[in-house]
Amino acid sequence: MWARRSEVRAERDKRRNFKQTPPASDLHQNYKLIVYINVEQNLQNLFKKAIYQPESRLPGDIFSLIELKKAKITKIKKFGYLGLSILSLSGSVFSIWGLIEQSTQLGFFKYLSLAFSDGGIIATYWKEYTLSLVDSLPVASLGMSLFLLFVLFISIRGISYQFKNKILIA
Amino acid sequence: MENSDEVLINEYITGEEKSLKIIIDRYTPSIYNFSVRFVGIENANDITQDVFLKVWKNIKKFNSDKASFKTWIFKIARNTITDYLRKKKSIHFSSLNTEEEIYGENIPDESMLQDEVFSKLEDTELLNKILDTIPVGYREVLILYYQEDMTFKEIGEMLGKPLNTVKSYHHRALLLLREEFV
Repeated sequence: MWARRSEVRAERDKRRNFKQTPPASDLHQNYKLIVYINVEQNLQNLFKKAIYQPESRLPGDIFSLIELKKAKITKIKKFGYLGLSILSLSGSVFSIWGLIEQSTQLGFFKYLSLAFSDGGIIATYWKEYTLSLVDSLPVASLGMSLFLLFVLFISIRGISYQFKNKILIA
Repeated sequence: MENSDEVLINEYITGEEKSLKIIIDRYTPSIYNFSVRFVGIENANDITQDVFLKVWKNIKKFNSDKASFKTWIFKIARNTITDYLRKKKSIHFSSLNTEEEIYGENIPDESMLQDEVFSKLEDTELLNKILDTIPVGYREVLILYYQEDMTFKEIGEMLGKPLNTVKSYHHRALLLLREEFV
């Protein structure tokens, strides 16, 4: 009985001692880790202290610069769209004028008026009628006119967008 | 509560001008400090302005799925600085690329860095002086890691380099710092 108690006590002391004094290699590793953490912490603190601070007006200056650039771009776009719309408008006028003249020369309007005056003939000879109508159409002029009208539409939309933006910002 | 960068960018794109101001206020000190380290105090204001102009021009191209805004803006700052240094024909960030191929995968044990030299440091002026002398590639890793609190992964994304290479740069930068301090 006594022998067994002493054995148990010896075993317990052995475990306790092991907990209190870990092997030398473990101690060394822990020390290295602590030093490493301290080094990291100190380095971090040192770097944080060494940060260069900008002048307090710099963010405001940057924002103003961006606003200035934005205004400049808006102005360029506005004048660009305005010029484009004037050019496309005058181009469209001439192009439509030419389209009407060419259509008259080729007899397009005569063929067209036939559709309203005598529906019966057209119903009978619709194939020939369609071919004649297409043949009398000045395709190049029509294409040019449509293109210029499209450019005019885009430029007017661009101008209105720029004005809308300006009103929103204001 | 502070809005995240991504929320602010979305707000700005949808027409909220104030959001851009908040972003500028938030990042000006970091970009300025980063710029000073490579182009000096006298040019840092111009570089910082250029960086934010580029951010503004390309803000619609920013994709939060690819990288965080912080990584993106520092990438822009780095490119702006590289362009500036190239124009001045100074050394630039890519000067370390060949060295990286030699040491890239050979990362020493970080426990080697333990040194009481660092624990005694308090002299910021000395640190700034030493930082000016170490190679730019190492310098940027140190600045991004210790001053901008970026992770190695984020730094790697920003520099377009593997994680191990960034760790290697960090390690060698610390060794150089230690040498200089000693």
